Amino acid sequence: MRKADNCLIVGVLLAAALSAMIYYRVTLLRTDTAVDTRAVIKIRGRIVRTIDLLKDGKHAVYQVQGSIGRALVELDGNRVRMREAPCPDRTCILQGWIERPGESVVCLPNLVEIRIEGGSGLDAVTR
Amino acid sequence: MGSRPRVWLALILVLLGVIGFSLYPRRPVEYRSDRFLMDTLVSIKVYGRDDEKLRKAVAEAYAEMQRIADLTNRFPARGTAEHAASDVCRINDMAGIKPVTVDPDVFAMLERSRTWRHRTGGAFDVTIGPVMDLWGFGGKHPHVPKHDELVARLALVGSDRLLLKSRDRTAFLEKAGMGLDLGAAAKGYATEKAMRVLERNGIEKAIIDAGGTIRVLGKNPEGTPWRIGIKNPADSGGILAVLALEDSAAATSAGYYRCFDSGRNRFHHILNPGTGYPAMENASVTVVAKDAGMADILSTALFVLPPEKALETVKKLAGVEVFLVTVDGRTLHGKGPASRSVVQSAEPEHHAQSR
Repeated sequence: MRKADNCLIVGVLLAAALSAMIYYRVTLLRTDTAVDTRAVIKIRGRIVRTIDLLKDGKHAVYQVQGSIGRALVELDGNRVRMREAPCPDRTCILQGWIERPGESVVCLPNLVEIRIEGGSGLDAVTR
Repeated sequence: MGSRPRVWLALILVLLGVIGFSLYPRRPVEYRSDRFLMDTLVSIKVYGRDDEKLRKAVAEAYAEMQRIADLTNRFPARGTAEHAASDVCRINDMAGIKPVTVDPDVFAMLERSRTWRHRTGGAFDVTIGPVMDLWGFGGKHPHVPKHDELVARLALVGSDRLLLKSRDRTAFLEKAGMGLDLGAAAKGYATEKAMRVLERNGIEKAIIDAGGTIRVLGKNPEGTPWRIGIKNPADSGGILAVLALEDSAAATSAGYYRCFDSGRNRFHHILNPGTGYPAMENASVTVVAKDAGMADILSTALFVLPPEKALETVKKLAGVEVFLVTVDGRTLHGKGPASRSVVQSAEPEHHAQSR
């Protein structure tokens, strides 16, 4: 009886230690080595589309309807940009391509935002 | 059977509880919220245990930013409630007529702005309003003004004719036609105030991104300094360098925003108060400082100064660091006493040149 108890205790402790290790490992993996980034397109703060960014990914153009008109978001492998926008100042288009987590392109007149998320990238970009 | 197994069982349960509990704090709750404010997108991220508390803190922080935005907005039309609520509109309306009692925060911003004008040899001046209006910045159709008109408006610029009386907290522009524009000061000031609100609510980890003006509190959720990229001003875009920040702020002034093309030239909205024309020597200036308000003002002031002069100015400022890119593509770096370098990595190879 005693022996069985001990086995049980050791077993449970091992299981606990193992699960703790797995947990830590998973969090480490998630923060340090994850390479998958994605571009999130928001309109008025609400997510309308999420695009995976892959190194040798495809080329595509996505159309979204902003506050004042149609905008085109261009995907080129692991980077995106605002290709066309109805805003008068075209600030968003002039910003060019973005690819690193934390980078974003915002079109204020049209209330459209493209932001790169995921990976172990940047917390923000000063601009 | 006896009671032995039950004791062990109890011990195991306690042990599991301890393990579970020790794992729990590794996952702070994140609460994130975006809002369009002060003509830009402001995003606040906070971390803590209690979701309800985080929400309340962020709501109060936004309310504080909105309050500063309303007080400093200079564009609402006369006769509207927004116009009446704006201290800047009231001061501008009463230019040459009489002093106006203002909110303590507006007074603090004006005093600070005047100090920095002095310390940067006039490179920063909040009385630039009439010249900004002539260029049409803030409106729909900015354009290059006629030179003689510009010279006439320039006569209305000068903070030495902004009278501040701290005893009754009044502000007065001496000459009719003068006008304040707090566009280069209010966003940073509001960001700093918002962070103070978060701190007062017991928040220990937070990041505020007000359209590229960044203020961080504590370390990031991974327990390391926050990683803040500096946007490369070159057409290729990308990141110029990565800063590692804790409890400090970073602000950038650059020619790539709010600009328009006329003929073969591009004109942007950061005007030299001395000439009335956009400052043309720097492509982007990023300032790291403890206070977001100071970082915001300094990034504009140093952008206007010639690069060498900007570096010289920073050498005298404790805890301040500057990253400057000139229009001819030189990257310069300078810092004041007691400021440790916060550059984590610079990767111009990959990001600036590959595209």
